[in-house]
Amino acid sequence: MPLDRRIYLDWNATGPVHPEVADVILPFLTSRFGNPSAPYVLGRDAFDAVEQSRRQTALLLGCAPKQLVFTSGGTEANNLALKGAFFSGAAAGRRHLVISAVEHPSVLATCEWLRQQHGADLTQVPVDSTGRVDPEQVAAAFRSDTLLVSVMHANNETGTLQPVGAIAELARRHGVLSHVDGVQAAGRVAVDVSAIGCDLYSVSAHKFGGMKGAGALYVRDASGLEWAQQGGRQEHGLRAGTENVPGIVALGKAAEVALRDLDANRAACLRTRAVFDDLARKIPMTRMNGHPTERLPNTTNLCCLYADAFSVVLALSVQGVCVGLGSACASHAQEPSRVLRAMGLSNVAALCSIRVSTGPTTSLQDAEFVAHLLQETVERVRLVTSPEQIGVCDDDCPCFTGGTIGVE
Amino acid sequence: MSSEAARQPVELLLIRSEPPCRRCQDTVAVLQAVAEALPGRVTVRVVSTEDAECARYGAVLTPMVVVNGKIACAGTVPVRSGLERLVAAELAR
Repeated sequence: MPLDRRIYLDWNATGPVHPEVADVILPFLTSRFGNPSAPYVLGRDAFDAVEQSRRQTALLLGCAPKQLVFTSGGTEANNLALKGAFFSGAAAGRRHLVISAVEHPSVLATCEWLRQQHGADLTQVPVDSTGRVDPEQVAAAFRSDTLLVSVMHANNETGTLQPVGAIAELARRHGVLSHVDGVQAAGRVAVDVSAIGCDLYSVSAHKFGGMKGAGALYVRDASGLEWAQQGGRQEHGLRAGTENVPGIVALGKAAEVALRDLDANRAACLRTRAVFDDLARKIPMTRMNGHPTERLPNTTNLCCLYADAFSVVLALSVQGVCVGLGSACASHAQEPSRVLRAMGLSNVAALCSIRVSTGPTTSLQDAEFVAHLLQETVERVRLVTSPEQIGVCDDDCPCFTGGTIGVE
Repeated sequence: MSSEAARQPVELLLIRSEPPCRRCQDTVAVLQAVAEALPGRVTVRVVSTEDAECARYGAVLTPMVVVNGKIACAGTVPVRSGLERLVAAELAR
């Protein structure tokens, strides 16, 4: 099937560049190619475009433009936030970091690296069966040497939204810095970093209509951070390296469009999400992983017990439909999702879970077509891969849950 | 069942690793058993992951079983009784 005939339902992985964004990028690839650090007209033009993007992105996040540092994406923003805070705070003897058990690998792996290479102490706070962190449990993890807490705004696999405002408030009371990985939330739900009260907030452009390779980190007060990347004086001296001008321009325009269309996009996504949420009722032995209400408007994570997710995803792919596996699953290896295991799913339930994430342009007709195809595919895969005598699992069946993975 | 459909055998395609792993070998045995139980109505074809045909299925986890063009399972040995029911459903189309 030609690539442009596919039905794409993996918007949490990435999405297309918005047409209005695509229109503004082109000159920056051809005629307006200056280096923003250069003093002549072409350089000033690029500089002005970067600053325009900073203003547009600041409006999306509810902050001052000067509080934004452009990065190569969400992963770099998360790295900068965590390493920048740690290398500054560790000198004062504060080496304890607190994260949730469902953070993105760019947060977890960075914290693990700081633990193994630089003597950080790490606490992972568990989540409930919907994937939510209890702010009180986060506060209970704080110690006198706690430097920073990092809890994501929305989970990439389940879409579950975290009480980031309450966590930031508790962190502030305890004198702890708070970082929010907002990669999945920004552009999809209303974000106001001032209202949240966090110190650091990461975003990625390609999740809301921008290009891959551009993102930003909101920094409430840059004086408390040690910057890991050395070089030129770009980004107020906070992030060295020639700016990715086309990517940054795209980020700004995408932020403007996402803010303008936020309510309409949310309504459109909720309509198509409802079709997939409904499958938890329609397909036997199936349930939705995630919070019933506090969830991204575009994300449904479904556990279709005894229908191996990899088989289902590939079977749909052959028929032109793209849906996601849990992000922990590599292309050639089946490993249960760490996020779903942390929510209490058994190994088998986690390996039978798929993620459907829609976008503003997903049509109801396509959603209904895929829902029907998914139902048929699950039945086929179950028939061929299920043990012969498995019976029927109800919602309380131990097949769904097998205890949580160990978190400190 | 239409007479036209009755003449069309169901194709069981196995995509196996190169060299074949134990699970791929077990899967060959399951497919052959299903085919032998329905002489003339089921064909079995085996290709390896080295074969260009695999590209159309995206990332491949072996053994992968494709029934009349639709992926039935990947990375696991199919259950014979389930596969027989799937073949019966295809023959009845």
